[in-house]
Amino acid sequence: MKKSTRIGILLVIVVIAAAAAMAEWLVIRDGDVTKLPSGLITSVEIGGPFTLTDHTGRQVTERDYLGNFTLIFFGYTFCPDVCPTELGDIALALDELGTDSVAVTPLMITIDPERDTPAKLAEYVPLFHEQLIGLTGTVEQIKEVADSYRIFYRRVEDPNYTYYLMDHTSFIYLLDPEGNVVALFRYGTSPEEMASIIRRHMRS
Amino acid sequence: MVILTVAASGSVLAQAHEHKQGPLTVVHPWSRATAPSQKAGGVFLRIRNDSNQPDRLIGVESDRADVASLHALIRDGDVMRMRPVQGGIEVPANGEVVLAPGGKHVMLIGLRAQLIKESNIPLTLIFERAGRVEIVAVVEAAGSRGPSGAGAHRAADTKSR
Repeated sequence: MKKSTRIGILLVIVVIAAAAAMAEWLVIRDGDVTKLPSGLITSVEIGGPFTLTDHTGRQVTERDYLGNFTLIFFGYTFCPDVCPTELGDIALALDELGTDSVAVTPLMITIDPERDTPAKLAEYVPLFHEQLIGLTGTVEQIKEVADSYRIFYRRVEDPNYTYYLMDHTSFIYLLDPEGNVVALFRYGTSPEEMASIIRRHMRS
Repeated sequence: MVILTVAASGSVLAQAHEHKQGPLTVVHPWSRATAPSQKAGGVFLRIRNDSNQPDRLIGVESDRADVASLHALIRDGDVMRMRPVQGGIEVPANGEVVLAPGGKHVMLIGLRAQLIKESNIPLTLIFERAGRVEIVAVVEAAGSRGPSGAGAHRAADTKSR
């Protein structure tokens, strides 16, 4: 093998390694708690533009939330356990941030748009935090935003009930003021952990 | 306002939060406040068994909902699935079982009225051996992580008062 070819191959390897390290860095800037699922290469692949309706009935897009940090949780109001837990934890994390919490906009995007009308979200979100904003949309709009955030959701019918529940991915994402996903909090992340990671991003 | 808060939470704590029947003690059953049109809620509790024989929670009844049943949250990777518990929930001999957020719970589907913070929900737990045990669950804040307001948020406190 010619020397120049060897150097070329080496260079390619170095570039690939650097790119991989960069991707890894983008994904796990926050250490183990925010490690993204395997298969997701960089944080820039998660999230994207959306058009939805907030709990006051106003049409909004992702651009409305730029300039502030944003927490995005996907859930539904019929949810008896996971969603109240996660939303309660978001509220506690915001409390933990104290006056810094004004720089964070918490959003709950419903994955049950058929039942979660703006009016229903308007009743629900203030139970958890005065800053919490509920977002809903058409079935297509919700599918688009959930897909872009890698959220799985599925209606589960039980013949014994006239009501249905939803299976869903329980993730809370942190977006920076430019709208980039910078952290992922899995179910069970403590509010203190969440607050300290948000604070770290505020300082960086 | 402060006095009122203390008095209100004091009254919750002062309520009988244990329900004893034979060897079984149901410890601090609690639930979470709901929005007016919210149709589902979970009830969480601890059951202690001071007997040498295991028992089994096989059913639950409540006139506050169309359906009361035993449910469990199943974590499938990052996907949360809520499913009815098959065959009841064992209460081990000289041991206890905990129904808590993120695990097993009593599921109330088709709530007939909003669950208001600091109100009570009467329920009947049905055990294989101990039979029917009447309990009263206390409604905590919507985002509460546990009984006695642990994790209760002040926004929720003021909203529901």
